[in-house]
Amino acid sequence: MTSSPAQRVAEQVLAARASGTTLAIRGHASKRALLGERRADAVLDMRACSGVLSYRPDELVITVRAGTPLKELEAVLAERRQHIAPGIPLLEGQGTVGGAVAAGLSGPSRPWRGSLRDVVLGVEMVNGLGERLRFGGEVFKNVAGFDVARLVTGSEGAFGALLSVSLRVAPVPECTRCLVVEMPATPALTWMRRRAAEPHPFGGLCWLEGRLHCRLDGAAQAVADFTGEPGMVEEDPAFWTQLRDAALPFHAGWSGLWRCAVPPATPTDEQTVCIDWAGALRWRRGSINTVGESCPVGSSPLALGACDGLLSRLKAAFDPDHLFNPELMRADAPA
Amino acid sequence: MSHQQALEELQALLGQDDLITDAAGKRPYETDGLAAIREVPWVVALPRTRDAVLGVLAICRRHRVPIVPRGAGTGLSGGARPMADGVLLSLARLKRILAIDVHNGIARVEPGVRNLAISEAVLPHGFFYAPDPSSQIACSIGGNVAENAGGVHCLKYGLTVHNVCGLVVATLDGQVHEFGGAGWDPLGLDLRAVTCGSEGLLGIVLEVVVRLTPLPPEKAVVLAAFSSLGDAGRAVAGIIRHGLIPAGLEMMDHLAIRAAEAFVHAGYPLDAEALLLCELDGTVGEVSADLARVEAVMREEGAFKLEVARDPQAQARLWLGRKAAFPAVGRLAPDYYCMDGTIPRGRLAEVLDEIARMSDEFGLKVANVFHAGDGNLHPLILYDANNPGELEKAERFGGRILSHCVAVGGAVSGEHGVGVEKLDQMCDQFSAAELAQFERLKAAFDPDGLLNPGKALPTLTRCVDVGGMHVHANSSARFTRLDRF
Repeated sequence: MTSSPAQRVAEQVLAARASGTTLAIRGHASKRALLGERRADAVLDMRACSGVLSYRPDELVITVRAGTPLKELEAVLAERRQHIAPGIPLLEGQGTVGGAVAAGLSGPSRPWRGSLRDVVLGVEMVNGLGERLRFGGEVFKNVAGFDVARLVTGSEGAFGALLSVSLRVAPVPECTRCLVVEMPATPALTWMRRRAAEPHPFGGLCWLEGRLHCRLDGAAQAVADFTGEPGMVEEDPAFWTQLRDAALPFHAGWSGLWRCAVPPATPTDEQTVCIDWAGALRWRRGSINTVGESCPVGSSPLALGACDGLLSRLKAAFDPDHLFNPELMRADAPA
Repeated sequence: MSHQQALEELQALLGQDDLITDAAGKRPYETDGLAAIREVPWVVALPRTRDAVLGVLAICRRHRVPIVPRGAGTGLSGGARPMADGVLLSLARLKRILAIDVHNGIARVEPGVRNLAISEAVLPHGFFYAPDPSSQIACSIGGNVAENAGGVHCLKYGLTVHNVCGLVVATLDGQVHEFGGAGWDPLGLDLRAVTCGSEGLLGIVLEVVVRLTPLPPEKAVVLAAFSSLGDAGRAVAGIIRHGLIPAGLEMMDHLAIRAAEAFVHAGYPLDAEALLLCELDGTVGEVSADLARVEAVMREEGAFKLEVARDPQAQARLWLGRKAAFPAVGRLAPDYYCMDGTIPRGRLAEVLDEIARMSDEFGLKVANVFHAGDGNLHPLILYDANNPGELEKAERFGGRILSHCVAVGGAVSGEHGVGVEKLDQMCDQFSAAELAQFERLKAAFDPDGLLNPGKALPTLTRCVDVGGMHVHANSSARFTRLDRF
């Protein structure tokens, strides 16, 4: 009898546990440059655990194995004019669904379309005990049991290996319009905050290199109803895909940059290279120490400091032997 | 456990005004919105400040006294059911709106602030707080977080978890944690979602940062009457298939329509087997365009009556019947029992048929109202508690409905929580290993198990007793060799 891909993953975890072998969970390894490379005794390769398990467009839900390439997910959804509303970054042009959920990264439309975490409806995973567990499900409203599916979103595999993921999908907006205008950072931020407080069908507001970029996604009439700024001209939507996928020129030399999550109205400064999410996501030369959180490109926020108290107990609740991605959520401070 | 010592310390900390110990004073706290279940708490603590809350937690931890947190007490699953040997910790007096920050699009509020009070406070700034459970006039934001409350506008705007960007949470070890903040998402671990819907088992919410939504400039409400539930269900699927996400999409069945019409005279068609209410919002042009498409789909799927309301009075009238559905159904029988399960929308007609069959089997009538857009079913079981055994029969009926929801791929609770009400059905939904993982997660937050013990998570013994675990033991044995996908 041949075992399923998911079962083989669970068996690998059980064997690793028995032999005390730590595991680096890996899909396409496309987030190495952003979050650093995970190192362990062995690699738990998720790529074979791939494929769409069910897709019900009328129910707005798709369930896929964790190793499914994001490109395949995009293509399957596009056939029915649907997509993942927050947009999922395809770093280095690739990535798997499991890797995306583990990293928890959302695209530029996050402030208006929710985060990737928000559209995760359920997961099946293997915890550090080698148990296959399901949390959440395929329905949008579900408050049975703790929301472990969204807890593991963004946990970078520290709690276990994802086997499958159910995601809420959304109709592709009828119409997209992308505008750009020259504007310095401070007035651009002020403009973003003022307009974000109004009911417009925004799909992105970003400032980069002296230009304010504005994306609208919605019903044709709603997009047409929007009045922009004098001087705004149409631009190629490719800008937004490149921003989502970290494929703009500034990303090429981004290893010295920091990713900062801040209250969106936080004043900008000379060190700021790019303002995304209408202000809430900043790429800077250096951390922000006043408000919010910062992480240097090339490192995981889960590897920055010693993990104690609640966080260390949480790690132990899922992975008591620190089997998965052992550099993350370490009890001792990293070297 | 030294209750006498704990009592003296609580009295010293809170004083007479903020600690209720007499029987008459405790009586109003013996139940929450699930009124069939009652217990008089040992004492009721009503702290007014964050420090006083932390003081109560410290005393309880020191003396191993269990704590049942409570917001406004409107919960429908018994999550705030008191314990005879536990402190009922009411957060209702922490009710300040600490900041309305228009620039960041957020409000920072204490847990006892009422849901509707947030929307009222931010209205002059052109915002609202989107989740609107039907108890929104009374329920508190802290309770909304504990239950991950929904409402009729979840389909477009999401649940509490989608609209909370920051939480300040106290755990029993005396630590105060900040999960998220005024930004969109924290980097790294995000503990906001696991806190939302945790039913008071993980920590005490001291402060909530809610995301505000700009008020849409235009709204329209469509009422459509159908001669079968199947047609109405297909209309819902058709609307979604056309790429529309309405602000709200509600369904009522024949009994619910008749009850509502008799109660509030909303002008509902009494000859309809099913009725859909669809709310659209957005810019003026967008609403007009969407309206035309929704009307076309409704007609195509067999709507025999359509009514469109574009002015606020007419909209309020159309909503009135739906919003009054629970009390309206309540007039049909001495008592009713409100259930809360989720199903894939496509299984609606089949699930309602099964509920009708069970209704005959149990000899109890049932009316159905349904958040059709997101698959959240609220069957209202009519019974008479004065008839010996009828409450128990209604509970068994409800339990069977929820088990059926799980069987078709849904969940035992969409928005009311598990509380004490749905412990048995949790055994249907989760395996022993999954329940054990929940227990370890709880213990990470609350190692001593003092926060709301006995709620939300069934013991494995209970699952064996109700038979659910037996089924699961079989299925997991089977699944070890089969591809579960």
